[in-house]
Amino acid sequence: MKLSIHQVQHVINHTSFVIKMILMSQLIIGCRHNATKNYILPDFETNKSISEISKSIRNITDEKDFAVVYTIIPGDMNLEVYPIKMFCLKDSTWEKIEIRRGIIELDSLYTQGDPDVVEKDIILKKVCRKIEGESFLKKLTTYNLFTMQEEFQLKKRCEEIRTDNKVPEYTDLGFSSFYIIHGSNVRNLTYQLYNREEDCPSMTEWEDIEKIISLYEDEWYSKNH
Amino acid sequence: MQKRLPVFFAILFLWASSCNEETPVSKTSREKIIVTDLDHEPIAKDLLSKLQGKASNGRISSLEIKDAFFKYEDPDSGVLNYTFPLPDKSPEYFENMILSKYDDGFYGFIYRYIPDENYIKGESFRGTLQQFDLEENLIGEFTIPFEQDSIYAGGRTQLLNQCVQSIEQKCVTTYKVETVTDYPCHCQYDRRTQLSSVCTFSFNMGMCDDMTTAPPGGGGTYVAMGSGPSPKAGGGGSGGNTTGTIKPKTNPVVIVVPENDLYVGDKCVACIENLLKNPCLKMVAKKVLNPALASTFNNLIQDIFNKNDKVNLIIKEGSLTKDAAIGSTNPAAIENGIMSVTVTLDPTKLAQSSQERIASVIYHECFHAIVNSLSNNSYSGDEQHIVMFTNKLDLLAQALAAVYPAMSLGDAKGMILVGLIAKDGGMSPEGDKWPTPFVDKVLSYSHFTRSQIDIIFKRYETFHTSGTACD
Repeated sequence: MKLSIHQVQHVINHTSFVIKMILMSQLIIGCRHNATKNYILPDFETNKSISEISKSIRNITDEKDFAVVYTIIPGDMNLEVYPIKMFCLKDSTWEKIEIRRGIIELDSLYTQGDPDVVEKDIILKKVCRKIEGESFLKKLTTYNLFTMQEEFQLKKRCEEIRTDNKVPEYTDLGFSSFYIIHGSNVRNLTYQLYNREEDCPSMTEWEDIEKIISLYEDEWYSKNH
Repeated sequence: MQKRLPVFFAILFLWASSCNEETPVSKTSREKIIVTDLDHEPIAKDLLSKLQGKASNGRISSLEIKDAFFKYEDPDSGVLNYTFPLPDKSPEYFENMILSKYDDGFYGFIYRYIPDENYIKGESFRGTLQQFDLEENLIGEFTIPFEQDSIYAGGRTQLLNQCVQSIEQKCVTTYKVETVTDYPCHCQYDRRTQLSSVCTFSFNMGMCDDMTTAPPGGGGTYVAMGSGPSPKAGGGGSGGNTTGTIKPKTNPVVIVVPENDLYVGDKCVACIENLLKNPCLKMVAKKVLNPALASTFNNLIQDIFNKNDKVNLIIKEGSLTKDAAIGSTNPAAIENGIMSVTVTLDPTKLAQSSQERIASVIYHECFHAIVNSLSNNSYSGDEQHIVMFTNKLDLLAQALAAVYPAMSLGDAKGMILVGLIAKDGGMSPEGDKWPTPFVDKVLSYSHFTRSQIDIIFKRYETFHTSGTACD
């Protein structure tokens, strides 16, 4: 079969179109694939299995590409319920998501009374502007969250620098808890902070942890991030 | 330069003279109660040595003074006496040995305190005070509070009048270390007769707040001349013991100590130091740690922290917000041979709480303080909590119910068990939380359900349908 020049030209054009389409789709897929990789996400050392994370956290983080979660584990005798705050990346969008737990439904309080009041979790979500998300991530990195040693390691170092080689253990304190989640990789960090800067004066880590907490506590919804 | 020299010397002189004026407070202050020891009291040491060399009473000759004793000295009136606790001979009473200076030297007495059935340990002493010479011959007997017809048997001390108002004075401590400081204590002063009474201390918690006695009239055991300061006022040591022969400034031996907190410098020894500032927290802490409270747990607290000059409990305020805690207990720390355990309460977390809730938190922390001090921090928080919520639940609950009689024992247990519910960390606990099945297992010892505890807690803490408000 002999093709006319016109036909050859047509085949070339068609092929070129297909190739262009393939290349374009590759480009698009490639862009989408790199969306999370637009950010060079910090490396961290896994120390916990994803299956050990509570369902209320996983329900949200499973759908995200990356998350840094902060919550408070209350001290003994304290029955307060503290919110869970998550700084999450999905595609190229940073979000600040907060689960406010145990919110009493007022109607149920009036109609049913204690102990049958209905308690619900409320989830708040704020989509961050790019600059805000990047700034927050940068601060977490600057305060060394992703390379921070676990509490037992910090205490061990503290022991070594103390003359009595003992780190005071205070009873009944709660913990500040962080989860860094990237796919199935999870790092969990929990710390007690009371008096630690005084107990281990030459260590800067405790101050860094307090600064990280302050990002989640005091500057969570501020315009600076 | 030459012009500046006089100024320089003037400054130097002023500085030097200011140094010279640094005399120990004990030497310059009037009416001082001093907690001291033999190393600081050569007179007492000498007297004891002489006394023990010749004492016919085996108890006295074998007496070992290892710990603190009390000295009362008023250089103006010449009063000087020492009070030493004697080892317990009977559970029915306790005794002190007093060495008092009179014109012709020091005389020794034994004071025996026999509490009556109304006497509550830690409160002002009520009962019989018997005065003996050192050979244990009875020379005087009084009922406290005083009655005019108290038996008088010719001792050096006799009844002067019934009660006088005690006033706060500054006392000093030289015990163990060379620090001299003022600390508030209650001593006695008879405004009507202008007699400033001599204060000795009744050890073993026998406190007598309103008691005064007349000038010496005879009796007692002559010990020695001593080498202390000479009395400026007459001691009335002539042997005359007629009732009513009051000789001003010739002061009797009197026992007064409502406060049993003692200080060495700024350090409190034998103390429960309530440093709380929030009025409600301070009041509740005072209430639950009142030495007069009759509960086994409180007695334990008093025995460990309030009667032992080597172990102190300090309760202070502090922010525990960073760790979402309401209260916390430090490990026991030893400094200069004195052990201290500090409990911190966060006032912001307890601002709206009922007294019962605050009290339960204080007792929770006191439990840790006791274990930390007795075991020298050998037990973990978990170990302590397990015992607290099982074997010792009744101990704490009974103490709580003793402070708040309107609270049932069941409610008191529920309030203590709130701490157990707070330990629940679900199926994947973090930090030092416990897995739910373990919490349930511990809870099963108490025969309480979670919802029962929840309801009790909410009544006292959330809805305030039970409990005592602070205001």
